Amino acid sequence: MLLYEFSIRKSFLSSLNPVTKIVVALFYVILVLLAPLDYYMIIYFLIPIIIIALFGKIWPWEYIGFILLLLPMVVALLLLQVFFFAGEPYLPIEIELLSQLFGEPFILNLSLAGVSFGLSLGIRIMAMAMAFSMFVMSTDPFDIGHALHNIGLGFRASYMVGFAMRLFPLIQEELNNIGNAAEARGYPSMFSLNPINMLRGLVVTFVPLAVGALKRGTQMALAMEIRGYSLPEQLGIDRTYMKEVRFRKRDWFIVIIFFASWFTWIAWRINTFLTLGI
Amino acid sequence: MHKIPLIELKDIKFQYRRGTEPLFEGLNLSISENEFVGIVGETGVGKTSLLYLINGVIPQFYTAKVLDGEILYKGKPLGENALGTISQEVGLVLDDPEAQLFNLYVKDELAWGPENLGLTQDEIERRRQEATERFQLQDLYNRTTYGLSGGEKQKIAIASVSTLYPKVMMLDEPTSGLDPSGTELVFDAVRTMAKKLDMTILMVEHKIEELADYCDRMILLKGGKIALDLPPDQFFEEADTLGQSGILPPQVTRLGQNLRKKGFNIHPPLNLSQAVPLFTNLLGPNDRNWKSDNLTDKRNDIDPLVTINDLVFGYNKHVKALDGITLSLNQNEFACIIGQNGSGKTTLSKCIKRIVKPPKETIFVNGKDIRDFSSRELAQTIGYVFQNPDHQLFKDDVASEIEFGLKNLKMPKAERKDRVKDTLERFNLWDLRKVHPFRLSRGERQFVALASVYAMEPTLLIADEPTTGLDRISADKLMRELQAINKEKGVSVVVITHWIQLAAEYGERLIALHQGKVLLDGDPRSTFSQAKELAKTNVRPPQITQLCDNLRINPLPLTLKEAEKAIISILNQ
Repeated sequence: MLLYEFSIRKSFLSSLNPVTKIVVALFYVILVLLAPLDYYMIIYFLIPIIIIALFGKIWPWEYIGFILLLLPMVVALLLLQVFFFAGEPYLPIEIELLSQLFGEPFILNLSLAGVSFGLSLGIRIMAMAMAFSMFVMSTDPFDIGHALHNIGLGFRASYMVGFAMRLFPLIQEELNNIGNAAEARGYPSMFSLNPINMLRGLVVTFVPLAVGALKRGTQMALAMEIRGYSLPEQLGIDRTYMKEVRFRKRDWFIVIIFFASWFTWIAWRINTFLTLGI
Repeated sequence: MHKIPLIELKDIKFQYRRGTEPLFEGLNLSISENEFVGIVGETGVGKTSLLYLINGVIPQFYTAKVLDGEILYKGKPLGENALGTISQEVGLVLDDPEAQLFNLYVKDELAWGPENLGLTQDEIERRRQEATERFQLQDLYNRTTYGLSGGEKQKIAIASVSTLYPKVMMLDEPTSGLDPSGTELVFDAVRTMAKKLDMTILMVEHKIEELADYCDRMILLKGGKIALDLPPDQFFEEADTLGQSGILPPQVTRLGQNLRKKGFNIHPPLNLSQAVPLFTNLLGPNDRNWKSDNLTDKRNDIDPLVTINDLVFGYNKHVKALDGITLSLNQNEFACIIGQNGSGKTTLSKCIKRIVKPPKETIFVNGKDIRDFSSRELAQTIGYVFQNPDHQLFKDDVASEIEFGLKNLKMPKAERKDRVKDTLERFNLWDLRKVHPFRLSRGERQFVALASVYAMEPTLLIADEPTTGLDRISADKLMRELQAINKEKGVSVVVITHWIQLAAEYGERLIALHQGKVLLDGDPRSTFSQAKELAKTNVRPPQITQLCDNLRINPLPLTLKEAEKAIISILNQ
């Protein structure tokens, strides 16, 4: 599955109103931000994965590529904290080469507390990303636009929101093709595990990707115009919708359950904070 | 009473805002109701721009520096009507189906245009169902738009415009990149729609044989004007004028014309169904065997370069794109891979180049497992020209583009400089060496892409549909260059193509894939002789070969020259 591609399967999650899902995702992110940074953060990361599997019928191995993409950031955060986190216990490591070079012991103090903090921070970011993935992977991008239109956004702007999300996997596919073409001529792969090569591989794709996106974007804009995209606004007519995106009972049910849990959790956090000061 | 033409262009002078000279000057054109008009001309002559002018895309979407003359629809100017309003009268289908499908589901795509018109849900549903039936979209109706084949996408694009109920439908190269069955499907659907809805059709297309079969009238655009405007049979009589624009009449027509020049009293046919009875009568009861000294199988059965053993590959576990491919690609060979859209041609070539990872011990190049090659070794050994030249141009000028791969191979500067110079000269790109690749025409960009791969001196060069979007002249030029690389440099060449005439003329070996398997593999003559097997791939032999097969001529001619020789030889027996 391509990153952020809408997964086409009927499920409870896909049947929910996009507004319900985005609100849940947003408030889940707030909850993750308020949660203490410790190893329990892994639970906040697993909850969206379990929900996506049980209620969205989308299994983790289908989007493992997306999770792996987040890993370099987690590793970078971890290393930053290990080297620069101010907190005991420290693990002193002597770098012999540098010691010989400077003529005195060169000792690097690695923070073990930083390992815990860095890992928790990385998992927090992954948990936040998974919350939004839960929304994106189970939502028809045009339903998002439609839902926004229902709450007052103009048709052209609301359609563009859905259209942009529909475009995302297409651009990603184009990026893959261009990366492959560069690699076919001996250039470092943008999929390389070496971060410098990965960066070089990404940078070289910029011009062809931009030109391709511009060409395709222009053609798509033309194709939309000649099928009346601007007509409702130009003629002042109401556009017809064949598909209805409504806020149904199940949405109310989810919203109520979620916010009840959310406020309970907040109350518990405040109580913990007041009593223990953490 | 004089009947008013449906569309009339009077003395049009037009220049794009950024154009250096007018594209049209004194262009006049008149189209009547219910006509099926084919528009041809060499690449860049303004065929697409002509369609854009007719339905107001120029100047409303693409601005003009100069636009003089009158464009009338039913005797009145279309004027400043919104494009969406004009589209209800004059619909336009663009050449890239990908760019016209922006909804997620086919059913939503069909409804999208009428939804914008603010029609009632019942009316939209009626139109949607009608289009579904007319274009036989029942199986696709609930599918997503990005999971479809090229032919299916084009069919949806046409059906989606048809739900606006335009009086005129203009189509810009609607079958580009489609296999023969996809092409036939599109042409049939357009003709059916035109008849049922009393629609006028204007179609820009490179596929002359199909146009000749379906059109009432054909137009040649040349030098900013309409150079020819005639019914197909008369149109193709103007061989010299057409030749100057690189337009070749259908093969059976040219065969008739050539024989007529040699004194045979025949009226050149337009299509296969006219040609078969005509030539059957001409040949009479003569023995259909003929002899020629030059007919040799072109295949070189020498040392294998690439060996593929029982290759099974899928993009997901449910669908096998390749299902047990076993074959060898030989040294110094020119092979063409053919097959319908989705048969696994590109996947196979990507596996050979390791763009996608084949299973271990399934592909060997010079005896070494492709999985064990380093990236640089792979780049040096196998060159790959992608279908879309725009995906493989990375630098700011043509010379740097050619140098790009050589730099990656860490070639010393002096050697690199010489190699770039040689390559620029070989591909006639010297004068363009400082030009940005994206400023070149599609044909030129494809040449730059090929030159950039050639400069790396690979042992095997794979070109994936390199002639897509090119006219016959540019396509021939590119294939001749590939042939020269093969003959002069001893590079093994593999070309994936739908253009079966090119495969017949240039390929020494044809590999026909079907549902991820090798269905046929041999020299073109033996491959085309197995008509029943070949039919499974939806690939048809060249028109001339089909004719000769129908006439039971043996051995089977592959080219126009061979067919002509065979017929004369049979008649002289």
